[in-house]
Amino acid sequence: MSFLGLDNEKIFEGGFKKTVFQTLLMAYAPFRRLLVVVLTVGFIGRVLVLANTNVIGFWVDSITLPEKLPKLMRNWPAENFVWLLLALTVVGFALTTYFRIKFSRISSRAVSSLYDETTLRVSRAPMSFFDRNPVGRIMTRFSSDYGNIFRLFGGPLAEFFSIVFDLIALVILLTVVHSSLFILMAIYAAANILVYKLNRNKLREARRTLSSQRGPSLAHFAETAQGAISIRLFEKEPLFQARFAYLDKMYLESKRKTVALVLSYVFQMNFLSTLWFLVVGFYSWWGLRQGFMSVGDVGVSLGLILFSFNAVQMFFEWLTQLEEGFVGVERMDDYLRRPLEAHMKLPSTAIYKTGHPQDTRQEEEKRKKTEFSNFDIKFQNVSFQYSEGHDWVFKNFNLVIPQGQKLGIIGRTGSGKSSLLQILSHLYPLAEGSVAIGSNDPNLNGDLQSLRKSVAYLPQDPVIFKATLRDNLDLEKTYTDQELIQALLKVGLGPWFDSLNQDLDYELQEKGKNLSLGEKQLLGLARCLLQKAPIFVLDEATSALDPVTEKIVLSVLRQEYKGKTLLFVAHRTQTLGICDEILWLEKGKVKLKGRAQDVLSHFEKVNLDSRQV
Amino acid sequence: MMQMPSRLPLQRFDQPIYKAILKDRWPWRALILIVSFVAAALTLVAAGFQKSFIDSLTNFASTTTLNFVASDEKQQIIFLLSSFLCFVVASFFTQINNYWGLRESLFSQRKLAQGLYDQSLTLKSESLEKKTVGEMVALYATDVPASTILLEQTLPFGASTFFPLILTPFALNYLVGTPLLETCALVVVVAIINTLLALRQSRFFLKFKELAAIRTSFVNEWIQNIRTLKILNWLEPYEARIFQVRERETKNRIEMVTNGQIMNAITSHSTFLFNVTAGLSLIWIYKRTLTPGEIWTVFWILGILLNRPLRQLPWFFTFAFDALTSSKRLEGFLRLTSFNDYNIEKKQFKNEKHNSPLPLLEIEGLNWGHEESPVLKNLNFKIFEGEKIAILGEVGSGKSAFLHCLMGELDGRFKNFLYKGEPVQGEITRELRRVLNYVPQESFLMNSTLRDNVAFEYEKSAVLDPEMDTFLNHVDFNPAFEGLSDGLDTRIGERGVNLSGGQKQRLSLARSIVQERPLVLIDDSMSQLDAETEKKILKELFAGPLKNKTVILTTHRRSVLHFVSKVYEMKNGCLAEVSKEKALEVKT
Repeated sequence: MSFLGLDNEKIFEGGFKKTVFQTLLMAYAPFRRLLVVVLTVGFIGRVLVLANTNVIGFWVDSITLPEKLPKLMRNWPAENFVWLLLALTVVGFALTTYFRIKFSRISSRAVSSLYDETTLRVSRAPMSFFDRNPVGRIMTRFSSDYGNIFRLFGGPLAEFFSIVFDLIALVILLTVVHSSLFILMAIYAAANILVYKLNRNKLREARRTLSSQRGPSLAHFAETAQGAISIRLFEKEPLFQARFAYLDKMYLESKRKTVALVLSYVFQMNFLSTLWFLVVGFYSWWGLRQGFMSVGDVGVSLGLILFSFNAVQMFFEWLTQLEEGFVGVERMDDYLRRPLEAHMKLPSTAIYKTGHPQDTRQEEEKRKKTEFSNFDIKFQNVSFQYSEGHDWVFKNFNLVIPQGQKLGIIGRTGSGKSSLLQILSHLYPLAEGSVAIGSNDPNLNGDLQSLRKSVAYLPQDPVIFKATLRDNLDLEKTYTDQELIQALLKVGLGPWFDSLNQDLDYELQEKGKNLSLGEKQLLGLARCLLQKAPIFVLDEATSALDPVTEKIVLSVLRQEYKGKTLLFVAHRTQTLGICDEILWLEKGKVKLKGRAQDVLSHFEKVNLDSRQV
Repeated sequence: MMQMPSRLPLQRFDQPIYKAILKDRWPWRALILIVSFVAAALTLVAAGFQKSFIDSLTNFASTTTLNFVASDEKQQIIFLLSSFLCFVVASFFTQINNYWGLRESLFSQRKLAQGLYDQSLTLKSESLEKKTVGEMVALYATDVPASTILLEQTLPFGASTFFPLILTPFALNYLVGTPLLETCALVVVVAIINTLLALRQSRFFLKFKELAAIRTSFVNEWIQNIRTLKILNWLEPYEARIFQVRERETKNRIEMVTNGQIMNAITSHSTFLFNVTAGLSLIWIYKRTLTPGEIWTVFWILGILLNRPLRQLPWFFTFAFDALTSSKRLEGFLRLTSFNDYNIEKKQFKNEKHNSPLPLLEIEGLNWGHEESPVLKNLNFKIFEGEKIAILGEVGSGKSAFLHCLMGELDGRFKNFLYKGEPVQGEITRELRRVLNYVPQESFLMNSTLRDNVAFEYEKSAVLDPEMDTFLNHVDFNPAFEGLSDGLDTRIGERGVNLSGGQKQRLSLARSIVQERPLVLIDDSMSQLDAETEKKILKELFAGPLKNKTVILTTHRRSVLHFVSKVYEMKNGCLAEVSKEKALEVKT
């Protein structure tokens, strides 16, 4: 495979893009009506609770200035006020609790859909995306970014809304005390927004840096865990320790800066609130002396402003926290809206409308029933490079592999063997020409997914998932236990299966750690047999096998692939005896194609000659 | 950028993690508590001034001791200003304290991360058997920050939650005359309810983390294998697998937020209930007529000032429980047996120049594996200096295990293990390991430049580039021919994502040769090269850098046998010598 440089991690700057909010709307869309009800109930609940302050004002006025009270309350004994307080609190509590629970449940559901939708699109991203982005980088979007979204869009968002309700309620209740207080509150709000704006960009940048600093230290940690044997044998620990210490320090330092900014911001807010406490205190004191406010009013305004201490502080604290959630949404949204690989469609289950092509249910049903009648492989005038500016791997390349042919493909590293397989499955777009299986050419209204389905593929190190043996053989769950066991027996894994007490639910470890390479290979072969595809590609699949295992593989191939196409990419020429014909590739061109023995003898001769130079 | 260190000491944790976290730098950590106390006290003093302010407005004689009614406006203004100042100073202290808590937490995080890193560097393969890389990364990514939340949140927030709660009954008693015992009892009841809900919450949290870890490991598999998944058209079933865990995670999350929101609703409303209760009890039980100042003070303190501490209370518990479970998980990992534990018994080999008839390595009766199914059974083996031998054998026959036993990665049980005639006692000592060179089966690459990868160092200077090129030449690796346009400066992606299997193996080989060690173990490390290249490389190496070295090579490629002096076969857990001719015959 050709070498492709890595892309730099995308840097997000400035305000959030519009799509971030559109994405959130799509996530919450299924709950629109319910949300309106829930939010209204929540608001009423908080107004009732906060009205406690005003009732206490009435209570105080009933002592000092009874004539100011509404008629009903004028002769109330003290306990009546307390009962009213109790009633307000209990009803308010009930409504608020309903709101909080319902809202956070809705939110958890909504952001889960964001996760699924992003997964669907990343799965279908072009191969070059995966070449250019390290695993760790893609992982963080699904681990820490989603983690932040998940965390913040549950409880905290409900909390945030109830704080917003508090703020609105506070302004209303203060205005009820005296309308002039509304102006004071408006100035206070403006000042808070100013402080927020002054801090927001710094905070946002700091959070974004923090997000991107996480990757390197995590990746280094993972790398070390994998190479630990070599590192310690060569006593390179100090180097790696230093590297890790450096990367970890970078991350922690960035974390320190972020939190320091948050705290400095919180203090600015606190100071502003306290200052406003003083201002309102003086104003109502003056109002009392001027006679337009009662002692009860002074108390209510001081009480409510004290409330706003918490409410305002928590509002902006949560707002900055929610930014973290928004940063997460922004980063997932980025993946959500990237183009899919050519000819790929989203499954019909995808619900977000992001403008990507999508399958209908009928198309999916049709694909399931596809029969492979004609499966000649045709490469026509193919020109291919991994990305623009890179060397051409193929230029005007033509090849026809008639169905049923057993073709060996040889050539030195870099000759284009692997690339040939990659473009057969349309993993990379062609610059020119076409690659078709039978009449199925994705470039000409063919179907990419059924094309891929018609190819079984066995690489040198087959994928083993951390899952049961059953899932590893048949992820789509289409076969019966009997069929699965049959496949295991065919590839000679019978004794091994017996050693597992014939347990199809035996858990295989990540990367098949509890299997030998040969067992993995045979398991991969069993999986390919089950796939029942008309074309079988072995990509250096036997190069790491011992002769006994290799023999099993070859004899299985002979039996099971009569009439089917076999593409056999190999380094070791002696394993190619099974092939009818051999294709010798050199620098993306057909150097020789013909009967196995002829091509091989020529190949070996040339290679030996070149060694001696 | 980075400085080259001398050997760093390994970070060890001999006591429970949470103790280590709390005891480390304890005077600083105690300071957090003291400052919190002052801040809480100041807030209540501020409320006291407010009361005096209101009382002074109405000329009501309060029944409590703080009863100096101001005679003029000046005094009223002083009350208001003092209240303001107390609030400002209290909030300043609180934020400084939060910052300090964070500093201390980061300090511990660094220490823990290093401990964890050191452990994963030194952990024997044997102890690791069931730990995936993802799980280890999760320890670093999640458990380290979670366990230090003790310092970041629990200590400062806990203090700013508990001090107001403890001080409030006393302040109210002093200012308004509410009964001390009853108020205390009420606070205790709310605290207990919260604790129970928080306990429940932390269980959800624990489950949430487990599920997230599983999901992450699936995501990792998914991205790592995306090429194959695409080729096989297996995207949808694999996605289904991810979604299944995601759904379990969401369901747990929904239960968790429900519990959490009930908890929050209770705490954010209990202040108002406190207020009502206090009012009713003063009026009914104590038959008190309250002054406006008193009514307001009760409300300000109970209804408003306690609001924040009470809201924090459940989180305090949740974080504390979470921190404890995380620190337990870390402890579990840090206690696994590692090489570090054997460093104590260092052994020097006496006779550096030994007589030639003595084998370099001599092994008798090596056993390894589970008791029911041993892999190595009474294995005997010896090799002389300068010999080059190959070990053949089926996959899973124990070739790799044998090499890992030599390196001490696996705890093989030896009847006799001699190096240059000296017993290697108990565990393999560092001395023997220093002689070993090892090329692993699965090549490992650093996320750095090609140069760094060959030198096995980070940020290696370019001074020795010609030497690097020579080493690469030995393994038939010319960066320009391989399409690495930046030569030695080419950045190899994370885990070599941009290299082919063959390229990785050749780099891995070059890196080992750079290390110049006398006894070379090559663990089937050329499987992904074509036979011609493999032959070429071996020829080159055995004539050059490995000429005078002792080599043990495991393989299943018979073409390699031409280059070695002896051939062994691993069968039934034993090594048996086979003649080269015979071994080569089997090929046809």
